[in-house]
Amino acid sequence: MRNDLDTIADRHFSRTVLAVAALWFSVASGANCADVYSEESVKAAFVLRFTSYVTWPSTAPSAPLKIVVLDDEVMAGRLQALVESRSPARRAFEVRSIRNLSEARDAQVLYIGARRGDSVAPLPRSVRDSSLLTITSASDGLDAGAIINFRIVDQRVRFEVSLEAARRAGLGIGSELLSAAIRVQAAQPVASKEQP
Amino acid sequence: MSALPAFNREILVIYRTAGVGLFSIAIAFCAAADDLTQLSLDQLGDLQVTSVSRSPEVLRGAPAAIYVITHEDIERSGATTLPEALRLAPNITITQQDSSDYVAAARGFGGNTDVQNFSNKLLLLIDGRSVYSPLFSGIYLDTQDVVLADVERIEVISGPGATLWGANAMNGVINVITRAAYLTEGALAGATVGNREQTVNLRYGQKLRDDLAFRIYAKALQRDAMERGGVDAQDEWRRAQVGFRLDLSQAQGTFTLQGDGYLGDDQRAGPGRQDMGGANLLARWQRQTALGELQLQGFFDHVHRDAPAGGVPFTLDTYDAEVQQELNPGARHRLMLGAGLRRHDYRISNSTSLLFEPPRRDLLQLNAFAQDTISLLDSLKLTLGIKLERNDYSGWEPQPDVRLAWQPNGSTLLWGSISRAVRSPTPFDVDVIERVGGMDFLRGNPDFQSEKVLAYEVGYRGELSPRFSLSLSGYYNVHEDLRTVEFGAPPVFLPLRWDNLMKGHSHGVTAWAKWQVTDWWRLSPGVTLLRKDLRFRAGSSQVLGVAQAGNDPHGLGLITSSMQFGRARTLDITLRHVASLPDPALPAYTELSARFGWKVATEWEVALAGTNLLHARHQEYPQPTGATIRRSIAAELRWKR
Repeated sequence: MRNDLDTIADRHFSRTVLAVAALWFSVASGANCADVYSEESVKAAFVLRFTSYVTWPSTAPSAPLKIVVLDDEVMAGRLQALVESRSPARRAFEVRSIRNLSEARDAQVLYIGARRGDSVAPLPRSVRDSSLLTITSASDGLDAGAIINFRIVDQRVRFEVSLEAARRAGLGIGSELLSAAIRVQAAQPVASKEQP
Repeated sequence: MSALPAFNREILVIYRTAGVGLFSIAIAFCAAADDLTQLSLDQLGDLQVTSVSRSPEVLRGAPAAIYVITHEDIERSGATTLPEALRLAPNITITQQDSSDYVAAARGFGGNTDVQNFSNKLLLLIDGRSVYSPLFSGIYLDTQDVVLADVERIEVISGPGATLWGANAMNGVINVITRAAYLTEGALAGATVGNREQTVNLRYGQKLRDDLAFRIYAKALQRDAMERGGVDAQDEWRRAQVGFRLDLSQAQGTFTLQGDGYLGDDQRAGPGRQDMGGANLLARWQRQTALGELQLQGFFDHVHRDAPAGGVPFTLDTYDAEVQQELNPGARHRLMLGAGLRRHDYRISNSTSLLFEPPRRDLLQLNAFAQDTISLLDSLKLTLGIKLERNDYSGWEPQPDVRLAWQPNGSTLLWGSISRAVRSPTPFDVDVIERVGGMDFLRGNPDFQSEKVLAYEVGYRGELSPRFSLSLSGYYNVHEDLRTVEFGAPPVFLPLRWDNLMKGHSHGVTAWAKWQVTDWWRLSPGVTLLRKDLRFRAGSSQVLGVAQAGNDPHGLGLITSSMQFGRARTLDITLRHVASLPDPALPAYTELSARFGWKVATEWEVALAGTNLLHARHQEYPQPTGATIRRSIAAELRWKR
């Protein structure tokens, strides 16, 4: 009785393994189709849009804006695709994928993918004090020192802003951006004169 | 027994359906998207996104079989308790034995209650607080609960997770993570009224300063008694819990303080109620130092639990302190070092038939771990970890772990691992005495060893299209020193004793997918199959069969359909199939749960939810241990502002 059961189970077990393999191949061959409203497409569009409401202390308006993406190939790919689809008449962007924060030095925007969990390690002082628009997608992004953090709320991409982090970075944040945020973390009082 | 082939056929149907469906995705959904760059911030924020494309597991990149139950999954499931929410994970088996008793197991070894083997190879963490009971290494799921509306996610990791999570994480880890207080601002009041149970949830959260927020909550549940052999099982369950969480988030670091208190009773057959209660307080401090992130955590946890006649009431106090430091010694290394100590202080009130000798103990557990994640190439990461853990019974136990993860692109992860994990001895293995008619019937074994596993795992996780993600994992476990019950010395052969005279191997596969069929419809199928091949070592008296190690189903399958109609209405249906149990035997069962939710106004949501809808009565564990579970239907009302 037990042997019979084992034989049956074995046969079905291997058949299931085959089915899984077949599914894998069928799926793999159909992969890489175009963008729909995936989370990253919307986030990528947000990132580009944010740059219209942020002022950097020293960038020539004509120079291409450099966006670097840490630890998130998918996001880098979506950003690259969006940038390429834009009309050449609009502001130029350069998108680059990086593996180390030190490579962000000459950029204006730094997007940090979640490295482990949806938690992000606190940003080093060198990054916070440089004029980088830091953007994260993590439950604790602002705590980590980011200026903008994405959150998914009710299947929609929303974002929160830290004016304190923006103050440290010396960036100006436009009121349109603030009014669209779900949460604005105020700057400390000493910074009030720098607020928009 | 005929249920097993039927089950496999179902799986094949699921796979075939998914395969055919994929071609439809390729045809129907690969049209170019609108130019998102033309949209305003507000318009972008209004777009509904398919979070399937970045299912949290893919995002994690963790080289382990990890399933993530999201906040939204829980909210839409109609689950009212933590174990019901855990049913959403395909890589864990949840068995409801009676009104309040749920047993959780990953990769088998869910215990065999009738021969006093309990599920004891799983770790449950609630916001970093380990809640398995050191008395027998199992989890009292009826003492653990959270306000499900405040849960950010539940990570269900099958396979050894010892290095980072620690003791008892032999076959899996369940990691419940609640939202930080600043994400739960405002008031929430919810109630469910049903034919089997009633619940009330209240929560209020507020931001005190920009960097300081808190929430307080209360939760209560009353569940009717089930049936056993057609008569009232007298297991009516009542439970109430209050708690708070405070989060301070400053630029230099974060501090969290949280705590709960709860009371419950579960009226068992026979005289009296089984009262239980407890309280806990946890503090966690994270800070960015020049070296890397530093985390300090401490908690205190008190539990008391009465028992029906013949059982043993106990109180247990747990004190725990942990430190964890991240180091980045070079660009290619990420080193985590940690150490912890935990003291369990328990007091058991022995009965005449069940005794622990000694009835009081202070158990001290120490651990230290190191884990280095080395980037061999940009796409190839090797993780070497070891945890050394000391317990009062078997001393130091090394638990090493090697993992290799290859991420050829941002949407594909292939991983493999070899790890050793142990389930260390407990008072129930060493100190227990069971008496029948004044005579010792079973005694613990002072030489009881840890149960050990050497686990080989491989896995794949990938986002195959923006609308389809897939996870596959397989394992081969080599088990040593599994617990057996053995005859005593002749001629009486009593008392029986525990020993470590079983070994063998087990293997299995788990697969799940998230498929966003259309913008408003998502299908999430999942399946787990497992086989165990256990045998007794020489010298075993083989009093009981190998099923004493776990009366586990050969598999389970789940498929959830989640539909969204406009902004306000949702319909979620989950079909689950659990294969038959071998010994004691129980046929396979299939059940269905469904929930229709409607946000009737900005602040109000109503819902109708049903669980175990297919049958008026079903059994998840054989009688008499398992009670008969009846169909339940409930109306929900929620107000949130």
